[in-house]
Amino acid sequence: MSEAMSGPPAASIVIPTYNRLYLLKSCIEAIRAHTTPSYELIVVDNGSTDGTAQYCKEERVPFISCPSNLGFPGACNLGMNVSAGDIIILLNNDVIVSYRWLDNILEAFRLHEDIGIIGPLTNYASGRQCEPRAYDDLEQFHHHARQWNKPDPKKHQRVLRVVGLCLAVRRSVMNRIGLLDEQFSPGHFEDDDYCLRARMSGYGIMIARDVYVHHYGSASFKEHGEHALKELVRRNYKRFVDKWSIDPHQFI
Amino acid sequence: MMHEDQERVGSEEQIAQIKRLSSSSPTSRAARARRREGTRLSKSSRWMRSSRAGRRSKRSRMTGKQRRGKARRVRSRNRIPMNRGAVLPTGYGQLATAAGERDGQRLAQEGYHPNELQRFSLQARQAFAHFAHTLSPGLSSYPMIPLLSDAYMQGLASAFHGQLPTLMLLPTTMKLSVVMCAMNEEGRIGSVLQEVNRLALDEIYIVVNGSTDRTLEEARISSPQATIVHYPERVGHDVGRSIGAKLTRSEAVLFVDSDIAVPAEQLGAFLWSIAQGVDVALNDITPLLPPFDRQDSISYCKQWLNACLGRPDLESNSLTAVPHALSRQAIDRVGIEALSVPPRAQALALLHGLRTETAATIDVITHNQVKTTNSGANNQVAQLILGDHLEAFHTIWSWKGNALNEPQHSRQHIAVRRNRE
Repeated sequence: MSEAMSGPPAASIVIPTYNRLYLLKSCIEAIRAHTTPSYELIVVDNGSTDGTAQYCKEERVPFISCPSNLGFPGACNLGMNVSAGDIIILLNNDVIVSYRWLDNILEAFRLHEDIGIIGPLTNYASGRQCEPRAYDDLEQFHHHARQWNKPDPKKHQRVLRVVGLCLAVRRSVMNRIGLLDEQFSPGHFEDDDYCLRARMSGYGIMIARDVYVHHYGSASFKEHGEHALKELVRRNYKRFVDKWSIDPHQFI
Repeated sequence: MMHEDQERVGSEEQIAQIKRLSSSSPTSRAARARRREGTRLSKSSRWMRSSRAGRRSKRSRMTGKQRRGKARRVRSRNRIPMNRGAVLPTGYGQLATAAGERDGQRLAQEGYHPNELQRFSLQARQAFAHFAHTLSPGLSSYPMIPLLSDAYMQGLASAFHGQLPTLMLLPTTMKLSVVMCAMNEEGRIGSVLQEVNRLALDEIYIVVNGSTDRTLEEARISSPQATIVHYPERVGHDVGRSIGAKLTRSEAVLFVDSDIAVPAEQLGAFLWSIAQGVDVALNDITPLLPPFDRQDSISYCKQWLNACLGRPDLESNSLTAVPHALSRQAIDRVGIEALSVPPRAQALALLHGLRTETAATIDVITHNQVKTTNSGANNQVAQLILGDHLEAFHTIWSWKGNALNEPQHSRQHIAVRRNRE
């Protein structure tokens, strides 16, 4: 079930995925190459038809095969429910991790006991985590990452919210505040909602600026066209405001 | 499927049958007794017979086989037999078929179609539940329900030109789930799921673990609406049930194995039991076991555990056997982790005062696969279950803690105290 074992793994990495097997493959390869602490992988297959389940079976990656596309929050929730690690990391299938990514995140959790949720820096995201950097391909990215990802507690930055593309949360926080809100399916603003709930329960949010990951971008949502994506974002924004009477933009 | 013209079975009928058999036998009781006197009894035995008389001589007129048979019949007389002799009250069948036709037309108009089977069957169950609610007096015993469902489905099918899979609808609006574990069951899981699918469930969770064959693919083909958790390593069926249970969000969860295909009509009994307010619905395997002196040590463990928990009536029925069903309340109170140690879950359920009853008898023993791990005197599976029972007892001790820690007085102390009084 996990890649190293006695007792629960330090981290459970939950990867919802839908029909982007080539992305999932690179994602998992990077995790396997660059993750040192004990971890378990849980792929949540949102009804893919491109052989994703077959791949997971052959690669001996534990996965959950859903009857249909449940979207990001629903899939994450399934993964979170079967996870066993002390830290749960929600990861998009189009994210490439690199040198010391998990070590630094775990270190940040260890240093700051009140922090409930941590996210990394990346080339493409909304908000303060977005810091495009110069590299032409993955090889250069990994090469530079050995410098960028040197552990540095001074680079731990307290914020009000992080995005869901790479979101690490403590198990104790998850037990306290629950799972993602599935009304935001297929995606967008469920991460804002989750961070708000964590803060309301007294936990802090942090960006670990000594962790840089590569993010390919909204592949899943863009395939339906720009208009559909805008409509989805608008609809979920409204749902957030209806739920909380708070404008989520102020936290970004 | 059952037919309405099956004979009624009631206690009077069975007694009459026994009388007929015994009186039509070529040798009457008196003749047999005389024969025994003449050939086998010695002088001293005759003395025993006449002085001890009464009970002893009456009993010895029946052979051992007849005695055991009578005991079995007495026991089954008190239970509602599963599929035999159930009959719908007059008119219920026609009412059901008519309601099925009406609801079928309504569903068709609202756009529900058997092509999208999951959506359709859930709607059909809701409609059936509403109809059954109107019946007065209501449905008193489970065996009537498959008959009612059958009649209703006939009506429903007519609205879809007969193009309808044979669903087994339970007349409840409760959310229902099934949790199943599977390890290398590519050959059997299809037929198991075929029956499970007929129950019109809200959720199906299959935990496939340690499989090197096509169990996953077969499960996906048989049950497109199921959520399948796939672990490359073996986790064991008890842990698998915990994992599946954790994912459920329904009010009644049925736990089954993936190697024996149980007809939906029989599986429904467990979920129906939960719908009626029972928290833990068990499989009554008592009729399937040999008499007490020939049972195995695990059966004794189960009986002893139930007796210690104040439920000797449950005999050796426990959560170690499938199928069984749990209510949401039971799962929450007992806790997800406890479900992976079934005897412990049983202890917790009874200690919490959850309503625990048997729902039906499903034979999971006869065709149980014989493996190297579950045969032989001290086999692995038996050792595991024994260990689980020890955990269960530990749970009881922890629970009852204080009551068992009463100071133990010495004999002298007790004697002094008693003599003072």
